[in-house]
Amino acid sequence: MTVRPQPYEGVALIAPVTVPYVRYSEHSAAWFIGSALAAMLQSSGLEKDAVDGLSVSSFTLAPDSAVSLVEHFGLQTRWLEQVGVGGASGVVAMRRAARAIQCGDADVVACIGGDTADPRSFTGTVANFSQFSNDAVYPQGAAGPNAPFSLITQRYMDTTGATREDFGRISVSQRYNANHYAGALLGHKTLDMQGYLDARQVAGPLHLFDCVMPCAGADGFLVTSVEKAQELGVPWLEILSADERHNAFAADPVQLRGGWELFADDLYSAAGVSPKDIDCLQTYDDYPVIVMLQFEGLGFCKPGGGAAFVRDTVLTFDGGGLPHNTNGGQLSVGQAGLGFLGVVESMRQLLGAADKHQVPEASLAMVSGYGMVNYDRGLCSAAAILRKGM
Amino acid sequence: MSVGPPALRSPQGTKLDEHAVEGELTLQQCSVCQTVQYPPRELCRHCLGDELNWSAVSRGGDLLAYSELQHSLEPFFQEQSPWRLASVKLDCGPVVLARLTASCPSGNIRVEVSHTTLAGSCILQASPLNMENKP
Ligand SMILES: [Zn+2]
Repeated sequence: MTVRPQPYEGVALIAPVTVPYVRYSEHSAAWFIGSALAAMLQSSGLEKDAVDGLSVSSFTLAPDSAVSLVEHFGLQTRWLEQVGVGGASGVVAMRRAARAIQCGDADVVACIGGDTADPRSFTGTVANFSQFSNDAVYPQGAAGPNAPFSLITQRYMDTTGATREDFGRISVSQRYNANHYAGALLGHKTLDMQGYLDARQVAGPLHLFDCVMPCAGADGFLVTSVEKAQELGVPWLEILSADERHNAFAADPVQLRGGWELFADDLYSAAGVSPKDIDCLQTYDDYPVIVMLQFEGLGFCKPGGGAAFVRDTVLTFDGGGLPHNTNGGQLSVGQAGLGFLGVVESMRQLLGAADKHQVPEASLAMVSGYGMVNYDRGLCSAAAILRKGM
Repeated sequence: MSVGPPALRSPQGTKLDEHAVEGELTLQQCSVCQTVQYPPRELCRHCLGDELNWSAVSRGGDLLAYSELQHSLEPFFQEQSPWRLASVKLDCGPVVLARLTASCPSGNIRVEVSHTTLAGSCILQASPLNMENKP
């Protein structure tokens, strides 16, 4: 019987970097992505010529593409990828690059998610996001993802009994985490439950602190072989397991589950661990309801049990429960770069490089991604379990 | 003052506008497997056949959820906020997003979906049917 997916033996993740997030920027997406590359080279000690693979994810790179950047940055690559699966792109880019390393198609792949932000570019992105959206969502006045997610959130509340306070536990604990991460755009502001509940309404059950703030920034990491990482003398991480699904459960009338539950058991068994062994979890938090779907789909609680789980589980980085979105997540750090934030944060936690928001003795990390609301739901689900290399 | 809702449409979306009849529901239906399609497209989502005929389909459906939208990036909608957006599972198959004509309680609400014109642009609307039977 074929084991799917095949193991990721021999692959090393190194050099997690972040180009600081800002609310708006005059710089192009290329500037953010290229600055991430420069930071990785500095961190790893590699010369630019050693990078022979590039994987790029961005909503704001057009009219340029990944190959434009190869020229722009003066690279010559033998492997090139543009991963466009929204908030699942970080995990998916990592998987693709790992295979290139295992097959010997490349020696060092730079995986980068980066975006710029000006007030016009966000309107442009949501106004022309997909054909289905243009024809069936946008003409209803539902520009942007808030409207579809307000419907998912409402249905989830009606079905499971989850309340606004339950979603608030996610947003409030993430803000606490962000208060300990200098790079979080909202990290200088505290948020308590009353502040969460009193925030202005945006769409149905969604209020201000249920929504992410689009911004500019970039995150990235290098994927190479264990041999290469050891030769460089840098600390590295291994991928114990990783998987993805697209358009899972398409017949469900409303998205109350994602593709994670189709592969979560296999992720744990391939890694030889169970949910209780995970020291920190980074989910894709475009909206708190989607975080709950990830808690459920990844086996931290039963389907529909997300609300009870957050009532019973401390989610802060230092609370001794399940440290979750330990730098504040997109809800408090900002949204840029398509799901690379969680991968890079997982790497920092495992490397002991998370500074003031370090989870004590984090040795096993899980990161999940979610993305692409083509019509009424996110189509892409991905997740990985990472561990410090030995 | 903005003149109308955004008219961003693909060629298939434009055809939906052309076939829409006020008070009816006209969607694409595959001539081979009879699957009803929405949003508009060029290939059948079930059998990938490309012969999709615009047909009057049954208008009934179950209300899945609705929410009141307070904010839009589009000035046209911002001016008339708040308005109600619903997701509806049509008896004939697809899930559609539609403007809800009246507020109603959640759970087991039947609606009827039809085309309507909003400032010269065609959209779907959903009207609650059996509210008097519900607590
Ligand atoms: Zn067909």
